[in-house]
Amino acid sequence: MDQLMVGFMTIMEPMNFLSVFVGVLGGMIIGAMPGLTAPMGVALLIPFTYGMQPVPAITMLVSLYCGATFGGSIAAILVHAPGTPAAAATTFDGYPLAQKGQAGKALGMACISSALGGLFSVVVLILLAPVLAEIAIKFGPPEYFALAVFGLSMISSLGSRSVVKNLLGGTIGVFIACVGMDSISGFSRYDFGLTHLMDGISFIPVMIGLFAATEVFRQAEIGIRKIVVDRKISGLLPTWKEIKSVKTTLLRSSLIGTFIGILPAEGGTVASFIGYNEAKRFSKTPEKFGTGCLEGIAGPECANNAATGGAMIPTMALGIPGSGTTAVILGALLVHGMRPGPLLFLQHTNVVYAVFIGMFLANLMFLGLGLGGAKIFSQILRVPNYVLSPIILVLCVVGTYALHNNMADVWIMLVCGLIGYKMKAYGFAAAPIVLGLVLGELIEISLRRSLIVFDNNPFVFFTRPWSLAFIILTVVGLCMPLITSWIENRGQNNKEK
Amino acid sequence: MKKSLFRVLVAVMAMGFLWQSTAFAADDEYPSKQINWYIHSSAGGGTDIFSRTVALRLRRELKANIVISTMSGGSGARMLNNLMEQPADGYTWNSFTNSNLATMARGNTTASREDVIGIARGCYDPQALVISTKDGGTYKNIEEVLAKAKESPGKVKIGVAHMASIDHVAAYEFGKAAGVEFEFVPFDGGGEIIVAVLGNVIDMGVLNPSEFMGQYEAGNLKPAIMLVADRLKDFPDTPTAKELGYDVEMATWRGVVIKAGTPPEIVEKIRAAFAKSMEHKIYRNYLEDNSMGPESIMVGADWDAFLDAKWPIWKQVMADLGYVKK
Repeated sequence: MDQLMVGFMTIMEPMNFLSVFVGVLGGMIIGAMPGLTAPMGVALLIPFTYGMQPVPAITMLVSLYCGATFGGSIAAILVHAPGTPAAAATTFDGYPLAQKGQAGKALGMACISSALGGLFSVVVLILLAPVLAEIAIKFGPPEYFALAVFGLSMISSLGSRSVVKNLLGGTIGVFIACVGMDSISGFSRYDFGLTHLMDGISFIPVMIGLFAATEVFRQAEIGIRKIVVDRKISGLLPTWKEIKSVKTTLLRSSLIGTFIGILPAEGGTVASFIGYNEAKRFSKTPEKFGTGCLEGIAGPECANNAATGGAMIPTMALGIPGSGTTAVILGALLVHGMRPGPLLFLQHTNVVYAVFIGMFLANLMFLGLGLGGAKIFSQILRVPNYVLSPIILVLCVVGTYALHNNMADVWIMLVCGLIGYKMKAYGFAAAPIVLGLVLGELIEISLRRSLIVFDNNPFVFFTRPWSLAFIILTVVGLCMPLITSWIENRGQNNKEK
Repeated sequence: MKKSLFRVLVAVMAMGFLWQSTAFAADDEYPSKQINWYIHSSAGGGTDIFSRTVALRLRRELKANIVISTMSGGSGARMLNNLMEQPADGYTWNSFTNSNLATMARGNTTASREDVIGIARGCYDPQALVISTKDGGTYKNIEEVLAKAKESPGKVKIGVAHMASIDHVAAYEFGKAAGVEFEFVPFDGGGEIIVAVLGNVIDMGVLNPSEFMGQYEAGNLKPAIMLVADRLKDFPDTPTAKELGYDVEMATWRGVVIKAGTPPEIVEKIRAAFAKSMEHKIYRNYLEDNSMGPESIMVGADWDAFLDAKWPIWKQVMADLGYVKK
């Protein structure tokens, strides 16, 4: 408790408070720009922190991480361009709600869920970091395989109503993930001799293409056909009753996000997809998902911000990054003379707790900035399409290029945009492709790695407890719709008799 | 009103012209324009942080604008191909690591060893074979691991970060010297290897001190052997490969190269600037924070000779492992 008080006092010093503010604001801007991601933002900021004290320096980076994770939802909701990969799932319900003229409500919901998820995970981080870090060690290759299978099973329910089309999309996604270096053998696949393809097709250009560019093309079509869209924009925030209606979703997503965040190599993207899918599975009105329901925004947004605190757990307590951004933060800790690991909490107690309190404050700060800004941000939709769409497309191009300074990524993004546009016309959704791409690499490498480690024994997935648990969850999840419909049918048959 | 606007415009143009002409006046003296420094890996990684740390002082030493950017693709293939297309004028630099030398050795780029000149090396992070000491651990020392490997060939699993990488080559070379066969398990990075060693999923991992220092201090991991000649001051109890009679020296190194054929006076000027920048407190602190010694720094001809020595080894190993493009 004393350490927390000291931490609190430290953060309240003007310089430290300011660095939280700068971090959050910068993070929100970086997050809202498609292509500019949190790891990049943190990496760019590190050289500026060389001259700073450890507390403001690390706090600023962590605040940027929190701010960017929330910021991603702003563009996802307003213009269907996920600002960060973790916001991809937010487009499913956030964008339809904004199109209905309730952008303020969508943004408000995203902001409140993000903040609550983030605060939850920071509390877990403060109280249980060393204990929970052990989970990360329990997760070997078989567990990652089982988790990836569980994640991939969501394909059947995410996206369009047709299961076959979703499965086809998922397979395409997994196939795209096969392009590039095969990590197990060290040879490159499907590169057609092109240097650009040797590292594979990165996820972000595909995602920006399928979500943002596709939507720009669709809007252009609507513009050509001169369909008049209702442009009444309401900046109204969600009511207290609406917030209360999603409280179980918030709790569930907080837990999911924190847990996924703890696992090294898995970050907010997987967390938000699972958060969305579980919100849908347990919802009383699953048929409303995809049309702009609040649970569909709360589920993923809460989970991806809960993953920020979760990802900090192994980073600080084990010295093993829990996500792409925390890998960069780990480097920054070293720069400031702190070696993350089991002894960090003993050696640098004051700095550690000050950073945790700073992270807590960062979540509160973007709650304020986000709610206050929701009204202003929603006015973007007042801009006529013929002005807005080209701007979005330019931002997509610039953002994708900035990713690796590689024109090939821009072409991939544009081609994916065209493919996505055509696909939508035939009733395919982007979500299964993106999910297949996110999990494809993990599923392949964790399967092959497990088999190498356990001497080609396929039963290892069923004998290790965590792995078995995820396999069972997958089977139950896949069979659930069949069982419920069978029970319903039997009930009706009985009645008829 | 119109007249004053005209005057302002003329003044601005004149100032612009003056600035231009001063820029032209300095043209014969290197550097007179922006230097583009490319790295092959992403922002925030080890190579990025190394480059940005040196650049902090280099900008002052050379009085030049140095822009560091990522040019990813094919483990440095794209970056090296680009270097070959630029003029040999000292305005294009490449960070150069083991991975890039491997890319050259595999024949995946148009550049070869003789096409680049070494400027300086800034990092030399020795490879260690690390075992778990958590709850007693499975092995006490490297001899026990080797005994197990001799007993059941191919059953001892070693975690490496990617195949055809420095980790893979280090473990392969050590196995060859010790006369045993290891099974290599590729991971995506040091963090994942640490998790796998701690979780007893693999027997041993190839890691750099900076990666496992935290876990070592906490008593969960220890290096069984260091692939260096002399014992490191941070690990006085860890035997080195040389001590145990294995002629293997492997480390993750990072440095900078430019295109061969650059005028010698420019090469020397850049080398001198690197030497001074790496003397500075900022750079020394960086090395210390990452558990690297001052011997990491190697400037000019020494670093060129180092690359010359490594080149045939890497070509041989890549061919042995079947990675050379036919």
